Amino acid sequence: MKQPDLAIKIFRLLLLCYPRDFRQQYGDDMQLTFEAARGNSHNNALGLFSFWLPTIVDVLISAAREHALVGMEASMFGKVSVRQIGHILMFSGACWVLGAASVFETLYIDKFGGSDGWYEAASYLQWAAFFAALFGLSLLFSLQAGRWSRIGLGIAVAGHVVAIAMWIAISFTPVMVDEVLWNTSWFVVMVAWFGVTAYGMTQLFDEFNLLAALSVAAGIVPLLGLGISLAIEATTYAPDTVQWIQFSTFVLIGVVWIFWGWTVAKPVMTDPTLSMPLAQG
Amino acid sequence: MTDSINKLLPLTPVMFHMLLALADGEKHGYGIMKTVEEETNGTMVIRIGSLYGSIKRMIDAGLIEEAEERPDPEDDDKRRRYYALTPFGRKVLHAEALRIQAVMAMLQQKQILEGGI
Repeated sequence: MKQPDLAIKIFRLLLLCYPRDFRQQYGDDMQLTFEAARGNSHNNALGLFSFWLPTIVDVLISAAREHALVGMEASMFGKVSVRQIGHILMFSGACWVLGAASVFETLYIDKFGGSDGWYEAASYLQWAAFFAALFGLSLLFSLQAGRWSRIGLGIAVAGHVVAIAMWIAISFTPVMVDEVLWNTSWFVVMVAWFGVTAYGMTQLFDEFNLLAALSVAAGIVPLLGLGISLAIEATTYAPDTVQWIQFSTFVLIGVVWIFWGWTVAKPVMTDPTLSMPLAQG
Repeated sequence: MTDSINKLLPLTPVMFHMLLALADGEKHGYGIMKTVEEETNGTMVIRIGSLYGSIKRMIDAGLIEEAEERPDPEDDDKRRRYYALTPFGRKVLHAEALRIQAVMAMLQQKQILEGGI
């Protein structure tokens, strides 16, 4: 049996850079294409150099890209269809309404004997759902979005990660938490919401539609609500008003997210192409 | 259908030339590479890694498919795969051609093509 020559052995080694599925599907065909291409290249030193260098660079870059796409497909949210992302958004919105209601109950009604633990659990549920939905959204749109949209989503996701980390740290701090740390965490959240708004704005510039408008609303509603309540708190001592504005804001966030999810989920009921795996194109 | 076609437009230059290479019949990977190089007078050279990444994504998008018909067994290597345009891929190529035609009309109207640089 004829042994493959050194060049083919090297190319087969290079193919190991690709994900296994890709290699199994296209590896043999790629080798045949490589053999044909090499047969047509010049055999002198310059010819070999000008053939091998671009081939190696191209294989390394394209293999990295294939790994990134496989990683995205295999990630927790990557295999979720567009419709399911919509459902996640609606779930997130429902968590916000539920969280706001439970916080309101604990603070004002206390019928169920609410405690600090209940209050905190509801708050964490809100944020966890919000972050999960945002993370799913960023994966969903990152392949379609332009550079500025990605920056907006990046700010949004990073902001929520940092804020949640800070709140967890605050919860486990045994002494009274420094006011500065608490305020800083809210500032980070506002930056994250600004990211959501920026993302929605870039979509609006591209094409005006309900989905983009709701993306903007999802960022602006909490920004305005929190901004107004902070302004009132700073100028007049009216804790009840502040609480009511914050409560209304949280409910409104929930409603916006539910509609946002609905607009994402609804079109795929009539357009099957939107249910295709995310990492394509 | 029109929506799903429009979502893919404008095609990337690589995707457009690969579809164009397959417009006159099925080809194997190397055939696509050479055709694209010839049809662009050597200005576009697709390397092997990029070629198969694009082939995978175009199959996933339904633009091309693996061809069922193969050459005579004597001339064939079983490891080799042949690729062909799907009806959807042909429609997308047609839509892109119409888009380019509209751009050409605009260029002519604005006399961009006259007089050279």
